[in-house]
Amino acid sequence: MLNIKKMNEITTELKSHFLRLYEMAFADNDFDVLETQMLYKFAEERNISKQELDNILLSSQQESLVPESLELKVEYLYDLAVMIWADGKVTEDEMITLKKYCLKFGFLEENLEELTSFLIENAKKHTPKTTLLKQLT
Amino acid sequence: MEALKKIFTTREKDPVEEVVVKEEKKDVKLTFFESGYGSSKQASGNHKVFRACLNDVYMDYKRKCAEDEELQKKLKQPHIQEKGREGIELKKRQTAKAILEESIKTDEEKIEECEHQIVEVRENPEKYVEEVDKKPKAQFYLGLIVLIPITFYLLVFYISASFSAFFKDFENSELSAAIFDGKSFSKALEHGVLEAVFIATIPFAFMGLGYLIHMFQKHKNWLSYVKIGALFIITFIFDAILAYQIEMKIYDYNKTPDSREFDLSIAFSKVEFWGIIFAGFVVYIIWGLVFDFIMKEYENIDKIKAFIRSKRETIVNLQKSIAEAIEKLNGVKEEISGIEARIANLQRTIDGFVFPNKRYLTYHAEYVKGWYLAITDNFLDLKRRDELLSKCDEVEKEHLTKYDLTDENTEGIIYKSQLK
Repeated sequence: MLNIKKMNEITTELKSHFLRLYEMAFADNDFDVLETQMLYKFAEERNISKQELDNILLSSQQESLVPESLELKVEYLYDLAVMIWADGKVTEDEMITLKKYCLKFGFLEENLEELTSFLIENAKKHTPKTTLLKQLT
Repeated sequence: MEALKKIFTTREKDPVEEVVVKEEKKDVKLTFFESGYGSSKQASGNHKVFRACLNDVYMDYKRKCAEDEELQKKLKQPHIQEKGREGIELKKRQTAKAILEESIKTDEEKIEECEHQIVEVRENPEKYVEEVDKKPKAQFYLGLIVLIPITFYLLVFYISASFSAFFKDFENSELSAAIFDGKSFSKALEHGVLEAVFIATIPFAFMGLGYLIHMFQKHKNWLSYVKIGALFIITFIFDAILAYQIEMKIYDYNKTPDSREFDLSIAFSKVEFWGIIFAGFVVYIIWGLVFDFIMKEYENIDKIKAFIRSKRETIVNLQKSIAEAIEKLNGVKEEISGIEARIANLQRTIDGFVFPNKRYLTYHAEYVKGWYLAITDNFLDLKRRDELLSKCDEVEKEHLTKYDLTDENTEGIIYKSQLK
C-alpha cells in the first residue's frame, strides 16, 4: 500500500527525465541490452506507460545529450535516485545503473560511492530538489 | 559543504578529436595544369597519349587519397556517425526483442498455469475457490436423492391433509382415513376441477416457504433471521389450522349430546392433532434444510465452473496477447536484420576507401585545361587543332564515364575494400 502511494508520487517531470536518461543508455556502450531491458522493467514498475517506453524502442529519435550544467546533471541523477527509491528498496543493479549515469555525466570515479549514497539518502528522506541544489551553491 | 562540492566535481572535458585536413595549396591546381600542359606539348596533343595520361593522373591521385589517413578519416566521418546512429537503433530493437520474447514466455507460462489450475480445481477445489467443499458434486446428488422422496411425501401429505381439512365429509368416510386419505385427489376431482387444483397446489405454498428460507439465509443479518422466524411461525400456524380443522371434524363426528364444544384445549389434548402437525411441519423443516443444503452444493459446483470459465477466458486473452507480441516481434526481427545489414554495409565503407570525386574533378579539369592549351599554343593549323581537340574531348568523356565520374552531385565514391 505504501509502495503504491509512493509510486503515485512519480511526477511527469520525473518521468520525462527518466525517458531522456533511458534514451541516453542506448547511445552508451557501457549499457548492454540486458541493462536496457532491466531499465524498461524498472520504468514499467514505476507506472511509466508502455507506450512511452515503446516509442523510444521502436522509433528513431534524436540522441539525448548529457546535460551541460552541474545543476541539471544533479537534477537528473537525483530524479533517478527518487525513482530507484520509489519501491522502498535499492537493488544492486539499480545502484550500478546510477553509478553508470554518474560516470556518463562526468563525475569522478573516486567519488562514485559517496555521490550515489548521497543521492539515495536524500531520496529516502524525500529532500526537495531545490534544497538539494542549494547545498551545492 | 566543501566536502559535498568535492563529490560533485566533474572531470575535465575530453578534448574533442578534430579532423583537420591540411589546406590544399593553391599551387596543387597549378601543378596539374602545368603537368597537363607539359605532357600535351611532349606528346603533341596525341589523344592516345592523353588517354594514358588521364589514367595515370587518376590512378596516382586515387593512390594518394587512399594513403592520406587524415583525408580518409574526414571523408568517412559521416559514415562513422551513421553507423553510430544505426548502432543505437539496433540496441533499441534488440531490447524490444528481448522484452517481447520475455513477455511471450511469461504469457505461455501463465497459460500453462491456468491449464494446470483447470485440471487441479476439480481435484482440490478448496485450494482455488473460497468456501467450497471437497466433493460438491457427490454431496449435491446425495442431497437430491433425499430431497426428491421428501418432496413427494410433502405433496402427498398436504394434498391429503388439506382435502381432509377443507372438503372431506366425515359422515360418509371411514374414520381410519381421517388424516391420510389415499383417494383424496380422485375424490377432490370428483367434486370438481377447482377443488382438485386447490389441494394439489397447496403443497407448493409450503415448498415456496422453504425456498424463501434458503433465500433469506443468504444474507446473514438480523432482518433475515426475523423473516425466517416469521416464516416458521406462519407455517406452524397453517399446519395447526389444518390439524385443528381435521381434529374438529373427527370430534364433531364422534361427539355425543353431552360433549362440550370443540376448542383449542381439546385439540391440544388430542394425539392426532400433534400427529398432523409433526408429520407436516417437521418434515417441512427437514425439506427446507435439505433444499438449502443442496442449493449450497449447487452453488459450489457453480463456483468451480465460474473459476474454470474465468481461467479459460484468461487463456484466450493471453493467447491474443501472445499473437500480438509475435506479430510485433516479427516486425522487430525484420528491422534488426535491416539495421544489421546497413551496419555491415557502413562497416565495409569504413574499412574501405572513399574517393573524393569532386576534388578530383577540379584537378582533372586543370589537367585537361593544360592539355588543351598546349594544343592551341602549338598547332597553328586550325583543322588539325580542332581534329585533335575533338578526339581528346572524346577521350576525356570516355575517361569520366569509365570511372563513373560524370555525376557531379555525389560527394565521395565509396570503395568497399582497401586499395592495396
